[in-house]
Amino acid sequence: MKSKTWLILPAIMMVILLAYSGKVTNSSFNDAVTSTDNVLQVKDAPLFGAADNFVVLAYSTVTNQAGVTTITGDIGVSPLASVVGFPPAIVNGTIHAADAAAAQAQIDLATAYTDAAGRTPFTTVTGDTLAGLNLPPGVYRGGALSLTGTLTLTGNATDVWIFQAASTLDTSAGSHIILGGTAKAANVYWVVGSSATLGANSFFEGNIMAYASITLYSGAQVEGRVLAKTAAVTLDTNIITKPSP
Amino acid sequence: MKKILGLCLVLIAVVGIIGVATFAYFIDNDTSSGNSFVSGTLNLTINDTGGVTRTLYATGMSPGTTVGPSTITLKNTGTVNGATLDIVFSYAESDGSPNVVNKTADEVAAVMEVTNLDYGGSSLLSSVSDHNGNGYIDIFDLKYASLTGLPGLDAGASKNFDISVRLKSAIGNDFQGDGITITMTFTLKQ
Repeated sequence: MKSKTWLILPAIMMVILLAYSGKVTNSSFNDAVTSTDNVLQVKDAPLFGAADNFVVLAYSTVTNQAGVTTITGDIGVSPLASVVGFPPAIVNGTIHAADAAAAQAQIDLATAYTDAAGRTPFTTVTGDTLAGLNLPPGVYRGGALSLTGTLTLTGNATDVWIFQAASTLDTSAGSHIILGGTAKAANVYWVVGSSATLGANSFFEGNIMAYASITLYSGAQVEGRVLAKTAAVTLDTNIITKPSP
Repeated sequence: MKKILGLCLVLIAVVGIIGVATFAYFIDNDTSSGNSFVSGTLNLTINDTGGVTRTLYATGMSPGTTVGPSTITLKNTGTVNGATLDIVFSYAESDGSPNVVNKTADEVAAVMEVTNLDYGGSSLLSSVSDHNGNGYIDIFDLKYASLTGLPGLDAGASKNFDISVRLKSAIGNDFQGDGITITMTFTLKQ
């Protein structure tokens, strides 16, 4: 009897030990790895907020004077509601006439305008003419900025250009803006103290934020936005395309 | 009788020591490789390393920009099958040049919409709830997601994890220059 007790007790203990050990092993076998330093950052440039989806925005009137203007993106008017010449103008987007979206877009445009107009430090544009220049990213300031011929903006996809015209912006017929490298139209901003005018058959890159009116002559094309704070936008057989982000 | 009692106490002590030792020996929860056990190994790697950086990386994001799909390849290089996988997301503020408003990390994460979240060819988006109730799944929601008990990896097997993130298009000027750094931890369990 004594010898049996000596055998049974260790056997019971061994069973308990094995069961306990097995349970721990099964529940604790794991290995973890980590992916770190995944960074997402918003650009340090004016953001349009509710105006982001608008390619044409006016205070009083959007008028397509003649011909077939093609717009890719939304157009809006606020606080007034006049939209004239659509059709024949084509909008691949939504027309917002004095609705809440257009009203908010005007509010956010005002914020972006103030931001862009106040950016420093800046480089003064000699003689207010942009013709023939090849500019790196930066802030450029002038009075009545003008462009004849070609302006080249060279940089990478995250580079930002801000042009500050104290009064007007005028581009001549057939003038061109060329984006060099991987520069994007979405990152080019034109803040205009009064009105902007784009010449016939010109090609323009960037987002125009004009305090007053914006006029595009026949055949002018824009990759960007034409946003007028306190006046009208007038079009004539144009192509306006929302820039890719 | 005293001898038997003494022997029992010794045995209990031995069992306890071995149990604790076993428990301590069989837990491994770090990013290093080669977690070896007598009975085999369970070793999870990312892209054939013990960890990876900058899978998802973008600065200067314009509203509407999509980053990804970015792919992480998870592989069990051990000899023991992993039954389940857990994924945990976290993030911290990592600004560029924010404006005076300087949004918080949570606010920035909430405008980073997750448009694609796949593991092993299956979408995980339906497993993530809209925690902040903004109508879409974003990085903020991932922080609170319970992505546990996903299909594991057999010894030697690998699966891809894919993620795409889009910066919402209508964000306002207050977000400029703001950013976050995201950490993704994958845990393979037997």
